[in-house]
Amino acid sequence: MSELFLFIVLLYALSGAIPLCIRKKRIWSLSLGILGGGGILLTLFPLQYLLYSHPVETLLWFQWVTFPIVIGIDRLSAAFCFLLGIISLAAALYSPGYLDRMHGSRRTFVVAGFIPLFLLSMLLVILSKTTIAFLAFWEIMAILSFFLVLTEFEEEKTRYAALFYLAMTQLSTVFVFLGILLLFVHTGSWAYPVALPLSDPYMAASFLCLFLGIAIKTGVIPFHKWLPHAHPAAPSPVSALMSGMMISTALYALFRVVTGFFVMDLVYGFLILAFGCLTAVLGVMYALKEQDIKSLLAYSSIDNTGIILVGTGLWAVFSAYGLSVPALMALIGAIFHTISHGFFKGLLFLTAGSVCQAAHTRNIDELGGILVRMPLTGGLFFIGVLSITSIPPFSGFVGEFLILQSLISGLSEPSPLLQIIIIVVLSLFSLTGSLTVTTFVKAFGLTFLALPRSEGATRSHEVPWPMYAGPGVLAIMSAVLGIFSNQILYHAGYRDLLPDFFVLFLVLLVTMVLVYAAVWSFASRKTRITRTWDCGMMAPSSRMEYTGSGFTEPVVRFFSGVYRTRIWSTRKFLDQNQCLFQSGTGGIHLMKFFEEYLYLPVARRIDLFAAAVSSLQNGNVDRYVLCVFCTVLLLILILGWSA
Amino acid sequence: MNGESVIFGVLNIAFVLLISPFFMMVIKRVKARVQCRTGPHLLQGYYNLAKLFTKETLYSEYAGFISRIAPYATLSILLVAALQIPLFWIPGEELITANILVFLYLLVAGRLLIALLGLDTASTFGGMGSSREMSLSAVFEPVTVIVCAALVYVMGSFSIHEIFRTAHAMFPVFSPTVFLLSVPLFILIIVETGRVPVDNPETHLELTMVHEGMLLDTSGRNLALFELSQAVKQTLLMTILINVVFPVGIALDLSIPACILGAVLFVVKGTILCVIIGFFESAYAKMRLFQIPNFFMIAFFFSILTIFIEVIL
Repeated sequence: MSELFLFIVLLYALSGAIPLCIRKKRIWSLSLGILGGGGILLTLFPLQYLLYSHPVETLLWFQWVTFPIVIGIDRLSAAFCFLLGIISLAAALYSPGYLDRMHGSRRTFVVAGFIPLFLLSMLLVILSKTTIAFLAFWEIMAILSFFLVLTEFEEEKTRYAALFYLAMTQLSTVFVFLGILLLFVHTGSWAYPVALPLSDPYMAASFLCLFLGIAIKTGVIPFHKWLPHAHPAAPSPVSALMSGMMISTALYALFRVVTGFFVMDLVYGFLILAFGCLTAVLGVMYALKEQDIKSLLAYSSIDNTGIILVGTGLWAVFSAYGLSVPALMALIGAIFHTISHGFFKGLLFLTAGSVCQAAHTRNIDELGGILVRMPLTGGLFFIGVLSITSIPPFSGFVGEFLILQSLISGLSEPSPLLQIIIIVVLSLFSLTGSLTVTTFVKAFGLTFLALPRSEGATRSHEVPWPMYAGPGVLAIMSAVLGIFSNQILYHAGYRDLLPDFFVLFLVLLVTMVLVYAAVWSFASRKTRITRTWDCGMMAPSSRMEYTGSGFTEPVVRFFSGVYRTRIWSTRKFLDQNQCLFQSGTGGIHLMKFFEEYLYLPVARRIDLFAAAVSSLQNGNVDRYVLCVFCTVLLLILILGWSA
Repeated sequence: MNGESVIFGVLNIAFVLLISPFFMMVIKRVKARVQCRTGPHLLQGYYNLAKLFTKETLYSEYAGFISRIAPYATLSILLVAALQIPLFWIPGEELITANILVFLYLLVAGRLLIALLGLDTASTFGGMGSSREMSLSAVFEPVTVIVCAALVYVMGSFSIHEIFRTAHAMFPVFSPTVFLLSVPLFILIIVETGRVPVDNPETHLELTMVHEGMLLDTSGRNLALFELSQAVKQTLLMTILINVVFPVGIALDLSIPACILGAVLFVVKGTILCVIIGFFESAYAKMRLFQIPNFFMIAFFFSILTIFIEVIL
């Protein structure tokens, strides 16, 4: 199999190198075609590892200086390889059309070249079998994605987002590095460790470092702030890859660490669970309020990360209590949700990208009426919405269903502490689900339905076929994965976890046909197209429609404690008694809690510290000599003392 | 899938379609009587549907495919949900999965479609109804899940068929938890079907309407389909309450006398529940929108109480 693997790597590298080396017009349609071929091969390649239980198979092995780099595949890696293959295919189909319409000639070549390389780095992260290889590819992935975020560098906002992203992603690498170093010091080898006990304080520290590093990368609240900045700033294919695949890659690392490296304790299970609940609920609440459609999707990625963390945390907790069936259910649910989230979030980002490019705006309040103008893109986005709002039998439902079922099954454990925690988690988890539905009714309804609210939206028209073929692949996958979920899990050896959704799907289809046939044959078929009911006055215009902020206002009121919006106004009057109104201003200020209370204070401290240090470095040679002299004196004193 | 479960599917769907408009009219009539009016004839629901099915259907010029498919899809989803909830006879085998979580998410699917339909026509009323419906359901959904968790915990199974069977086996010996469960299940009916303290199904006043706001621009056969699905939804939710709290007479095997007895008893029990709902609606005034979550909290509290009492027992 390793020849096939090398061939795939070669295809990816080639498709990355071509646009970087050859500056010919539309060269990316060739290079991304190669990427598409690589994607198809990569989809087929891991299937046998996925469906049949295999031991770890080494694909590639070499020594780099003194570090062993081992690339191998097992079932967990195979699942994510499959996801990566499909997403590569979708990106390969979608990107040429997107790049054609992008302005700026040189940067398009860079984007076209970096996309395959970014995908390749993620593939190698997933397949790494030594910690040092993992770290190296993890860092390459971070650097490549930083340059991709920086594509539209002339804009002030993009530069800010990219810098923010760079700081956070390097912080993540630092923690992962620390964790891996601790592992190396303890075990003396770079190979992936197996089942280390967390009672050892060094191992606990290592776990916490790794968890923190992964948490920053996956956007766990409160380390999430880079996501809603970086995703809107990046070009849409890149945001689809970052949200659909990079977060999944980081979650793969989490699964690897939690299920493989360490034996989880109850305490750490509760820790993951707490972070999961916080991330899920706050993520979806911020998504709900967001007016920028790509930021909305970014926040929704955060919320899905939370759902997956809840599943993982439940696995650890239930394992510690010895409840094997609910534990397995939660873990399978978390992994399944990661894969399906990759598909439908990629789909949503790609279709939203088409809309933003066609309408020249990302603001939901300026969109509307897109479905009539771009029916195929809208239809695909709708499939994504059905998936993410976990409508049976789409794939988003399966993961949430498994986690919910595991939670409710866990109630039977006669431990008061566990039961109370389960009830709290259950409420928060289902709150997340229901708010997701509200969020995506807003995202789909206000973007695609009703009347356009701006000139750009009015003049938008359907994209060329490859730009909906790419998302189309993802749409098919998110439907198929849900409909055949039971068969897939059954084949992989996990039986009786799920009901058969294929039958449900068939019955649903048959019922719909029967209902339609019955109405068609028995009811009146008279139909007329007319104006929306206008109360007998004038035709409703787009100014009279509900806006995004209006739509979510009741929820914001219900949860005013979380949102902490401040409504302010200033008024000027013509007379002293304040009767005749002259002019005034008003606004709604949404408090950015984490930015104002966590990030900025830390940033200010670092600034202060840097200022203090930089006063030492002022170019004055005398001062440097003085510093060196003081240091030497101090060293002599200390060493003399200790001797 | 075997012959018996297919017969069950056909019978159950036919029965639920047949009986639902009747239950709607019983509630209307009780409310009218309380207000010293005569109220509609008990068969008026069927006449209304027949009238609507023969009328012309209007579509807004702004509407896309959502308006075209939502009426059919909503009714189909509820009919599939009806396969999960046996009304008068529990078959030996499930036709489709009767998992209660799947049932809940099917209801969510129906709600999602109606909310999108409200936005599709660019009407302000539609947007208002949709916004309110989604906001209320965002708060109510966790309560529903907790109610279901309590039900599953008390009855020891995720399958609605099994839950009903256990309830039937337990029946004459009343467990206090079943009584406690009846409160949140009743609130579930009131909220999910948009009845008085939450929403008023008879109003077309923009200040108060939620569900009707979204359907304001539907007409003809589409409106008939929506009214029918609303009635079916109400019957299904009532069935959960009836068959959990008072499951007497439900048939456990396929024999004609048992089924007829079960069906007749179900109609009697359903009518009594409808009368109670009618009185309940008449006794309350519509709540302010922002105070409705307090009403949900009652259901939440009772469900958690149920779980804790079941733990103690």
